[in-house]
Amino acid sequence: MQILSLRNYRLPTNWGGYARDIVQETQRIADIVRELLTFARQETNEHSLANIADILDASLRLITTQLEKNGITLERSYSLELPPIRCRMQRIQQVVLNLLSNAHHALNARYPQYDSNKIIQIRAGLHSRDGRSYIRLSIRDHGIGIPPEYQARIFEPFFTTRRDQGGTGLGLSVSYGIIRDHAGTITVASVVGNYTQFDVDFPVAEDVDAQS
Amino acid sequence: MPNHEAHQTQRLLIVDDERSIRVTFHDILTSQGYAVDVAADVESALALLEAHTFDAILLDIVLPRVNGIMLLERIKAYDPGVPVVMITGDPHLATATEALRLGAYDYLQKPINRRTLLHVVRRAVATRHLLAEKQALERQLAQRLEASELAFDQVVEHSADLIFALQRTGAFMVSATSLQHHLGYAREHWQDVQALLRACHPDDVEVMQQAIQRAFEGQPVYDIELRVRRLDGTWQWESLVLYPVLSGHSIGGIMRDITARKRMEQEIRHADRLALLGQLASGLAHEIGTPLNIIAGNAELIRMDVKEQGLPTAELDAIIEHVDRITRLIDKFLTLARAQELPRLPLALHEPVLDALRLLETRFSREAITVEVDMPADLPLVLGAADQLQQVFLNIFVNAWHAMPHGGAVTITAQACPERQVQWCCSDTGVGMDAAHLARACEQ
Repeated sequence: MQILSLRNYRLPTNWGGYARDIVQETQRIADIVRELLTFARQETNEHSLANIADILDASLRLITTQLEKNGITLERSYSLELPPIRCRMQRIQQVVLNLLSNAHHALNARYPQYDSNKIIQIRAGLHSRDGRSYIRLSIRDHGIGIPPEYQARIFEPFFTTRRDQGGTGLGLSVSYGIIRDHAGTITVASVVGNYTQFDVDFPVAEDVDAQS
Repeated sequence: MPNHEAHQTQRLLIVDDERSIRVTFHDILTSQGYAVDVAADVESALALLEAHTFDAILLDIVLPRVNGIMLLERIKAYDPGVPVVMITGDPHLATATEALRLGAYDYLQKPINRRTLLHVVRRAVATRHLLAEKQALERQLAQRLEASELAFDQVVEHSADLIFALQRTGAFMVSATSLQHHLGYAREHWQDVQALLRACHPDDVEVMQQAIQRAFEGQPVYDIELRVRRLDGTWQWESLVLYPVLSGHSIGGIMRDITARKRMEQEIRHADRLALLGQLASGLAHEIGTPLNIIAGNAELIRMDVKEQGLPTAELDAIIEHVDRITRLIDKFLTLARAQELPRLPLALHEPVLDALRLLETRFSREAITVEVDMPADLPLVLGAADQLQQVFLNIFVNAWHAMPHGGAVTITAQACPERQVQWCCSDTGVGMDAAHLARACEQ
């Protein structure tokens, strides 16, 4: 880095500290940009083994500041110890970001300002069903909730209640398609004026499942 | 028994070496409306069989030279359907039983009375007719079946979906037309399941194999999505359905081309990703702003020190210049992002113009700049975002201010134009622009 050539000079004042800050802040920008590019980049067709915790971390790095700026608290509960899933990472990230974006809007609609209840809970854990192991990802917000008559329609393409705010109605239908392509399932539970919870199950990668 | 054969002459043959039997039977049966031929020996019997078709035959078991049983076999060879009634004088039933075993319809034991004779003959003829009717119906049925199978083949052949069958042996059965149409391949190159697996995308081969195995185990498999290579080398997305038939000896399969749907899905997924990126990017642009400020500030501080020591500042200049460039880029991006967020509503232009002027009021009066606003009160409303328009007017006014370092006048006018537009003008009495600057004034 060019700035390091300053070492050649005598450093009477606090140049070292200033320069260190410059390097550190540059790194911060580089990280943000890299994270964004990873998500934006043309996706490959390959499935690979990935840990849900890594995918969640990468997704959260992109959206945390926005959530915090809106006074939303994140409660995370997942560990790196979970067995991997076989997936296209970017697509799972797309699902996570869609769900978080929905939770974000639901909370903002209920609490325009800060509120101690303005929380998104993100959990991931092992879940067994019909003799198979799944990673269950749950994203729960205490926002406005989804009326029962909409719950059946939210996975339909172009269905949105936020058309005037730039909602495309694609997020959940695309997420549904992505999850189906990964042999997973997505379900919703919601009470108006109380909470919304999405549960997403991804099958644990089989070859790894046999070893554990 | 109703004499239902009366309307059509029934032809009978009597084979017996005993003349009295031949005559008696002939007379009895003729009187009932039957046409009756008689033969005394095997040779003449065979000649008659050659010439006519009979509805029933009465055959003596004991004939000169050739046994009646042997003749029975010959008759059956000529006409397997004709009922043959054996006539026997033998009180032992062994021969008669043997005759029945060889295909005789019934037997009569001498002495034979008229009543019994007519009864047996009527029954034999009726049987013959029922049999013929049955055969005709069966033929019809077979024809209809063939026609319907042909129709079915047409359905399969012209279906947009590829319909095929797989046997346990691996044999692959498909309509040549349909295969050609669906994937481009020639039938002779697709004789067994290997052809299908070879055309399958390497990543999907395993899925295909598992599906086939499951179907052979008796479980239908629905809507598996996989890629198959067409003869022209392009990949085609297929939705595959497999189902066991013939108690698991074969499986039926349907492949539907879903390439267009997959492409659409991908485009929609892409659109969604772009929408997410837009949301994220505007949030992240704000986040990048802070570190940029720190970098620029620190570089400035170092540059001040370096300058004081009389050292070269080229590298620091570069940092500051580039950070400045990035900051401007992000500002532009954020303005764009906000433009998409802000709703465009009807508004009076006076508002943003006066708001912008108000921000510069003190500066203008301090630097001896007068402002004249001539905007009619009944100016039509325009569609826009007031905040953004205010920014536009502010930029123009700042330019005017910079152009008049020694004071001057700003004149603002507006008027309604045809085609539902409003024209807004601002002029100053400043230094002006030369042609070259003018040409580039509105560049980004």
